Amino acid sequence: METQLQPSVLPKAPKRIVFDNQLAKDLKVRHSITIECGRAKVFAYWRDIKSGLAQWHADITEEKENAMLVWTSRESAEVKTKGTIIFEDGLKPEQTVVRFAMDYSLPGGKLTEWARFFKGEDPDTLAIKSLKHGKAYLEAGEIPTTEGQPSGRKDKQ
Amino acid sequence: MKALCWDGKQKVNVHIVDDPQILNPHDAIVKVTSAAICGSDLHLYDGYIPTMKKGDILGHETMGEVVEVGPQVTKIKVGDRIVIPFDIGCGHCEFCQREEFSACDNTNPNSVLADKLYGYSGSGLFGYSHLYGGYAGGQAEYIRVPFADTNSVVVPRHLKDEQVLFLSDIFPTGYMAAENCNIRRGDTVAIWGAGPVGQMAIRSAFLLGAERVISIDHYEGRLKMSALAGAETVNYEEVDGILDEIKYLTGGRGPDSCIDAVGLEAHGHTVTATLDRVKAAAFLATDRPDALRQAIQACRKCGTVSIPGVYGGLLDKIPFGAAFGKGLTFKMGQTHTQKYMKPLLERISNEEIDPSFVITHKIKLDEGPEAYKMFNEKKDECIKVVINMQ
Repeated sequence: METQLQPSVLPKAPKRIVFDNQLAKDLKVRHSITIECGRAKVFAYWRDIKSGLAQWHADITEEKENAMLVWTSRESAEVKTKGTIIFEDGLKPEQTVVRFAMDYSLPGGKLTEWARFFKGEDPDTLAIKSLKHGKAYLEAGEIPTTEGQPSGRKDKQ
Repeated sequence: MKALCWDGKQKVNVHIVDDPQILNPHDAIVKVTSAAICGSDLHLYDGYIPTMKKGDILGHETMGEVVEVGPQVTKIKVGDRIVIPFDIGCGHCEFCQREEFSACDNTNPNSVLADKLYGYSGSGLFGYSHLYGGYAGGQAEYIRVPFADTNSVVVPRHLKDEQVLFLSDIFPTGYMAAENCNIRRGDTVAIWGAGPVGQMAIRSAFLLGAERVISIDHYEGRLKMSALAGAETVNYEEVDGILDEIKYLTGGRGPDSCIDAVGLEAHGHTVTATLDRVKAAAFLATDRPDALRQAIQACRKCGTVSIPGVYGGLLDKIPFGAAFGKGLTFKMGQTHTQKYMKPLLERISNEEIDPSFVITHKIKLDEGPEAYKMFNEKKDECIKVVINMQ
């Protein structure tokens, strides 16, 4: 007897984000972050080149309002990058999921790449840091820092 | 200003450092009136917590007077007398909105590092290593408080510093540990460690309706303090087997919940405790979890193990089969202090509890290095040291 696969009885699926996992799969750096802030504001933050993409010395080559940014770094940039940022509504109101994918090439080859990694200045770490900075700024109104605080390292005695 | 700084393993010194400045718009600067040394500071002192840097200012139990506020501070004002929680919340992220402040997404500048170690980073903490943000601590004459509206509770003038200072950590920590036990009327709670957090947990367990509390330690002075609160006490050095003793004391069924208020530097003389010391010394394991092992083993079936004691890394030989076999519930983590500060301040105001009972030593900032040494060696029946800045 031939058995045929029957559709199983399932509870009604709630609204959910379906990631296109194939998107930008070949790019080296992929991160996503959830921000408690509406999509338009989140998009505006990254669209504003000063706050969003400044560190990559990049130009936006394609954009869909409140949905997507594509960029390529300028000739002058030390680290050559290109990438895509996608903005989607989260599962809750006033929540946005930002997906960030980037390719890069570093001057100086593997050795420099490792050196950067150990200093925490590799493109992957810089990318996640920039996403976290955006999240902190949009949610809490400031980026956390301890730079400039006192310590016993510059002892006055 | 003067500050107590970590200068390496078992080295704490008074340094003259710069005064803190407002660095972000939600910051406040507080002139410290009182600060305390916490049992968890001893984990730093003994070099168990990684990513400390020479010169880091210690301290996370702090209170004082607001002397300056940033342009976006709206609730607290100059002149307010505040207690500062040890964990730093932004007040806006998903976790802060759920009152899970010590899981704040936005206050640890080094969260990338913590993500790598723990999967996801917790909030920044005052004076508790660079893994937790590297924030300068409060065992100093002044402290900078980020997100000061969220990270403060204003205290009335008629209450003394000593009565309210412990809202910064140990009282909420002991309280949350007891709350995590889901105590029902008639319950028995066993608490490992009769230090400051253990003491607060004993009293909180009674406040929350526990019938019996069993306090376990090996320092007689601490057990005496436990007994004063109505706890039954067990000195584990004076019984043949601690697990047998607890079973006997609980009619053969075990405590309904067990609290590990010891953490990663358990003393103990069991075979596993000795092995832990060897392994930690050889860097084969980072933490010494003997109190936790006992708590798991002693707990009744389907009971709860609540862990306010600090752990930092990898634990060896945890009886997970016992935990699974008995269907235990585990609750743990850094305290969401901000959630508890106001309701517990009310309990203090209503004279339901006066947390100052735990203080055994009052010192000046200059005596800090000596006090760390004394507290670490548990000399002079030291339980809690308070630094008075004035």
